[in-house]
Amino acid sequence: MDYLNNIVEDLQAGNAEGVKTNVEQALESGMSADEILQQGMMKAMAVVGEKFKKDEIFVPEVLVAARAMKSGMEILKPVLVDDKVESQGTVLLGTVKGDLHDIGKNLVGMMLEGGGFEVIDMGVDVEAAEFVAKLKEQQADVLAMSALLTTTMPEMKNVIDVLKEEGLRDKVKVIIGGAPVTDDYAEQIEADAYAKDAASAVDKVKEAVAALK
Amino acid sequence: MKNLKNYKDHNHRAREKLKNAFKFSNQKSPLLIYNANYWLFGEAEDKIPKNYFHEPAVMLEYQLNKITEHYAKYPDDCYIGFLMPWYGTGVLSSSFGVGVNYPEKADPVLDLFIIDEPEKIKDLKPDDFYENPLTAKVLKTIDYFKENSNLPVGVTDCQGPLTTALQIVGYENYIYWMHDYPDLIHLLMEKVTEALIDWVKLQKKHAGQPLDGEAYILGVRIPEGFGGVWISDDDSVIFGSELYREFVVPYNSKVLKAFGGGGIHYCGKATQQIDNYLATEGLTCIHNMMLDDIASALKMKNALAEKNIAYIAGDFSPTEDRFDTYFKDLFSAMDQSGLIVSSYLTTAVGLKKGEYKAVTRDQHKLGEKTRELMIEARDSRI
Repeated sequence: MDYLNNIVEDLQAGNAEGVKTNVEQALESGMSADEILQQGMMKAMAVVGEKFKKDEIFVPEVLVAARAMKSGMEILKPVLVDDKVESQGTVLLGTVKGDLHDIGKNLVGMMLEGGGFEVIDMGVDVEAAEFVAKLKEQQADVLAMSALLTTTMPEMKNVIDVLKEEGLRDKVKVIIGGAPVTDDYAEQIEADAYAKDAASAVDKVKEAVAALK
Repeated sequence: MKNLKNYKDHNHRAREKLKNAFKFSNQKSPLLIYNANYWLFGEAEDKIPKNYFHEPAVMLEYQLNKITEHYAKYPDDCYIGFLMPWYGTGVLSSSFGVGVNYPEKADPVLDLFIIDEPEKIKDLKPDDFYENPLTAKVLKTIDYFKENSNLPVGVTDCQGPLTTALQIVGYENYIYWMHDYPDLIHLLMEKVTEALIDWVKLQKKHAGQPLDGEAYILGVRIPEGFGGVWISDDDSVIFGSELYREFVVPYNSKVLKAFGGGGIHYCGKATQQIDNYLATEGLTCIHNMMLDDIASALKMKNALAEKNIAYIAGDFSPTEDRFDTYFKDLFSAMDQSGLIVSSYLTTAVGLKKGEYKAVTRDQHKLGEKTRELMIEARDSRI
C-alpha cells in the first residue's frame, strides 16, 4: 500500500477518516512517525498552502484539509513524543481581548500544526496578562495574535507593552494578523512581523523561529 | 415633519443617467460622491451622534443633515437622497436568536453564532418580526421616518442568505457541515432565504415601496425596471466556485426573483465567482467595493457586460498618496458603458494598498477633491 500518497491525497481532499486510517496503517506497517509527518501530512499541507496562496483553493478547502491533518495528528502525536521527534517550535496563539473572532486564528493554528509546530491555542478574548503568564509557563518561541476589529487592534500594542514591562520582549517573536492589521501597523507597534493570511503565517513563523536560533 | 426641499430636477437627471447605465446605453459613467454614509465606520468620532441606534429622531436628524449637505455640495452627481434604518449587519440573524451589541461610537456588532450542532438546524425558525426587539425596532424606525419626513425610505442592511447563515452557525461549522451534512446546510439556506424574503417584503410594506422597485444598493438607487432588492454577499470572496454554485447561487436567485431582480454587493476580489454571478437569476448589477484592485474589477466588469449586468465600482476614499491616480487608473482601465462609479467619503479611514488605514481629513475638502478628480478622469476618457 502506498500509505504516504494516500495520506497526501486524502488530506488535500479533506477526507479526515481516510487520513486517520492511512496513518494508523502506515504505523502498523513499521513506517516511522517522522516519515509519515514529513512525507505525508506536511507535504500535503505545503501543497494546500501553495494552492491557497495562488487562489486555486479557498478557505473551505483549507479548513477541511486542516481538520483532516488534525485527525491524523491525533494518532501520530503520541508516537512522535515517544520517538522524541522535535517540533519546529512552539507558538502561543490567541485573539486579543475584546475580540471574539476565531476563524482566522483557528486556520492559522491548524496550518502551523501542519507545518510541524506545537501550537498552544488560548482561544478568543485573551487578556495581555494571560498571554504573559502562558509565555512564562511554556517559553514559547512565537506569540501570534489575531484581531478582526479596528476597535480591538490596539490591544496588540498593549500586549507588546506588557511584554516589555515584564522583560519578555527579546525572548519571543511577535507576529500579528487579522483583517484590519497591516505591515505598517506591525511596524508601528513594534511587532516582528505581519502575516496577511494563514499560509503566509506559517512562513513568517518559520522565519521568526529561524531568527531565534 | 422634517421635509427636504424638492430636488426633483437633480433626482430626475440622476435617475435617467443611472437607467442609461443599467441599459448599457450611456456614454459617460454616472458618478456618486457619497457623503451620506448611513453607517458609522469611517466617520470622525466627534461627528458621531449619541443614541444614533437608540432614538429614531437622532438617526433621522443625522441622515437628513448629510443628505441636505450632499445636495448643496454635489448638485451634479447621481446620488438620490433616501433614509435608511441602519442597525448593523445582523438584523435578520438576530431574529433567529443571534445577539447584537452596541459599542459606543461604533456600528452594532454580533455575538458569536448560536447553533453548534447540525441537527439543531431542523428546529431553527425566525421570531415574529413584530416581536423580535431588533426587527421591531427597524419597522418602528421606518414608520418614524415615513411620518416625519418626505424622503423615500430604504430597507435596513440586507445581508444575503450566505452571510446570514454564517452568522447563525459560524464559519467553521458551516464549512464542515457543507462537507459532512450537505442536506442540513441546504435546509438552513432555505430557511434563511424564506425569512429574508418575508423580512424585506414586510419592510417594503411599511416603507410604502413596490416589491420590484426602489432598492438602494449601498446607497446607489437601482433604476425602475431593474429590480427591487439588493443583498450583501461579502463571503463570496472566501468560497471557491464549486461550493458557491451548489450552496449559494440557487438561494441568491430565489431572493432576487422574489423582487423582480436586483443587485449583489461584495467587498474585495471574487473573480472565481464570475460564472456563478452570471448564472444568478434576476441579477441586474454588482456593487463591488474593490479595494483598489482594478485588474480584478475589470475582469468582473467585462464578464458581466456580456450579459448586460451593470457594474458599480465603489471604494472608500483612498489615502493621500493614491488620490491623484486612483480615478485616472480606474477610468483608463474600464469601458464606461454599464459602469457606475461611487466614491464613499470617509474622514477617519483611508484606503491604502487594499487595506483601511486610520487617517484624519476634512470631509468638505475630500469631497471637492473627489468630485474634481472623478469628473476629470471620466471626461478625459470619453
